Amino acid sequence: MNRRMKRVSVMAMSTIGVGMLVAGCGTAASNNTSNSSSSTPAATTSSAKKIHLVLTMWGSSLDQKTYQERADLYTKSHPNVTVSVKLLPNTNYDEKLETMIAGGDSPDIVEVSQDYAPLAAKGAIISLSSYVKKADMHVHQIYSKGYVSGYMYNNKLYALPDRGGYIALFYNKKMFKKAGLAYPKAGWTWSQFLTDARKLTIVKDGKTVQWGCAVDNWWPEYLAFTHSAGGHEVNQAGTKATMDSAAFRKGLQFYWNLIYKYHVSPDAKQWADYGSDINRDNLFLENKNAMSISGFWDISSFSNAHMDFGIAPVPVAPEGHPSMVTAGTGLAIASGSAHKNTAFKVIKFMTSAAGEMPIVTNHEDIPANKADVSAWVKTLPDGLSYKQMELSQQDIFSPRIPPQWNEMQTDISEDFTPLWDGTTTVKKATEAATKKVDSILAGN
Amino acid sequence: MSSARGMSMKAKETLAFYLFLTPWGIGFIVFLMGPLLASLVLSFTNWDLLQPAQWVGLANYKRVLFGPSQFWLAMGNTAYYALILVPLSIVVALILAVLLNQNIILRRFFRTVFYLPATLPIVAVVFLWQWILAPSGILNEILGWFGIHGPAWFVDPAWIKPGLILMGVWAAGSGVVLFLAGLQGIPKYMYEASAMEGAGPIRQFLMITVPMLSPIVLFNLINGIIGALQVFTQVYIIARDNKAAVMAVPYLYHEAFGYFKMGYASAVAWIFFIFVMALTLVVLRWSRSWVYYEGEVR
Repeated sequence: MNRRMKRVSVMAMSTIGVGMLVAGCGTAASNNTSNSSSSTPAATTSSAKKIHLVLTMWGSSLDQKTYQERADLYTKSHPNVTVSVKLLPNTNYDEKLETMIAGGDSPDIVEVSQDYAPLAAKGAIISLSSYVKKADMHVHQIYSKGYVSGYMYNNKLYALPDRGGYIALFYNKKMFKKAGLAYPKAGWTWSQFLTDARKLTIVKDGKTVQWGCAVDNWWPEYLAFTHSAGGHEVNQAGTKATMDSAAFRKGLQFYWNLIYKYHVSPDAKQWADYGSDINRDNLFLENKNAMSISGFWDISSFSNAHMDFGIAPVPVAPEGHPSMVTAGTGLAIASGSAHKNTAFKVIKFMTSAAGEMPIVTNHEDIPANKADVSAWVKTLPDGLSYKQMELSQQDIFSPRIPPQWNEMQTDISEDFTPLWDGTTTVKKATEAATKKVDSILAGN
Repeated sequence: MSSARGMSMKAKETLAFYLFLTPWGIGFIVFLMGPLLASLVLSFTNWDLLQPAQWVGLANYKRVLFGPSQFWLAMGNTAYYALILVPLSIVVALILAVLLNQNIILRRFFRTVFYLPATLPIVAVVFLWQWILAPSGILNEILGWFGIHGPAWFVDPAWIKPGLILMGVWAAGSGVVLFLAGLQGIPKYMYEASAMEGAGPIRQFLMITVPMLSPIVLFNLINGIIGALQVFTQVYIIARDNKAAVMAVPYLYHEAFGYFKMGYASAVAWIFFIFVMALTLVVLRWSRSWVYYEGEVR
């Protein structure tokens, strides 16, 4: 071996060093490359008085098909307009969308979820308030309760509610029957829920073989309890964290007790034993979980698996505040769109009674438009009643989502992790999270 | 240029050299130098992908180093991980290489077996280890036979980094291959001569094998340091919300693509780059005192 070895190692060092930097911050790279991908078709076709719009969405190919069918219903009567629906990856939707916009390849219509506030705050999507006013739309009469306020930011509407739904409680009918319990009903309380969950938990040889209500630290799940007790993560204006309030702590304590006091849910170690890709729904599908707090999208997955299940409202705290957070999506208009007026006409139609019908016929999650709900209920699988949900519409609420939502959620997850591990108390975890989130909301 | 025929051989070769180099050169400038310089400029701005970037001077750098941020937590965790993983991997790889260099039965088979982990996709490896290291997983079960109550590896903050390190050591196969190649390059006469002088196997290992392999140790050391400091995939999959496992590159990634703080993330990247570069130079400098190159005159 000679000196060459040394030179090789130095070269390897420097190239790997450079590679590290690029791997570490490929920001400009991804930006540049997206720039060179397809230029907006809108710009090329507008000269021929034809308008082409691009709609970005996430989800399944069925979701994509449904959006396209709905857009096509509009373009059929407006032949000068075409809409192409682009399916972006689920997990990196925001990332891909922001890169598209930054690269000058902005879509016209954007599917947003309730965490749209960062997009609104950065001016990536526009306020629809003036369009709504001009079109003389009475949004509160068009869409079901609870949805519109979810898309209000600084008193302006940023998206039209599109696909509805909220977090509900799915229960296994067979397990309830076997335990001799009545099915949960609208207005059932925390204590009824806890009693049932304990009766539904079955331990054999020191091992739990059936969980009463497996919870897995998903934020809409614990929000169901903290909110119902009257607590909030942040204040109304989204300027201060309020997780150290007595009400929030009461709800979180109840939720935590399900895991560590009453053992009706797996704890962190038991979840780790199941494997990281297993959640409450998987256990529900495997008949190891009697109740799962989840979204309407589970209706199709549970019924496809031929489960005998029901939907009930999430139980309400003695304080009586709403317990079911909305989990829908809306349609917004990108500020980079060259055809905002047309785009608004399209989303107005798509969220109308006629425009939402494909959601019903394709058995997708509940439409946000009130007029379509009864048609949607008829498409539910046999034996699945929507009655208890109709009776508890007052228990639906929209979450408070400030523009710093993503960072806030990461910090809360980090500060709550020891809580889910059982190594800290509700008081300490909420104290830490409040301090951290306050600092984020103050712009640090 | 009227015709290539008029060119001298040397000029032709020079031209060919640059022509062959062009594709790489363009790729380097467009995909490496461009983004690299862009990230340097961006690190002095508050660019968030959507709004125009504003110059903020050294504000990002100040925040990374002194401000309320998880940068030092991430650096601390990453240093812990690298400091244990890198030397441990080298020692394990060296021992395995020496063993696999002996005349044992099924030698080829074992060589393949120990190299296999290095060929597996990291995501598959992570899922495998999540099963092995589950609180009631295989490893803890085996520990239980000896009356040891195993920890909750990827759950307990105190055990999450050791778990990641264990996973890293398991994949020491590529180091083994390099050491094996090095071992076969050591001339037999050295061992024969030293045996005549009365050196035993341990003395031979320490006085001949290790010095002769020192350039490979250095190579593995530098590659190992850089690789360990850049740990990403396993942390991203296993340890998402665990403060005990916030590491440098995943931290940078979240700041950039989770919160779109491109300016801040670029500053993190540059500071991190300077750290890695400095550390590498220190190791290279230090290596002069222990790396032996055959034929070197001191």
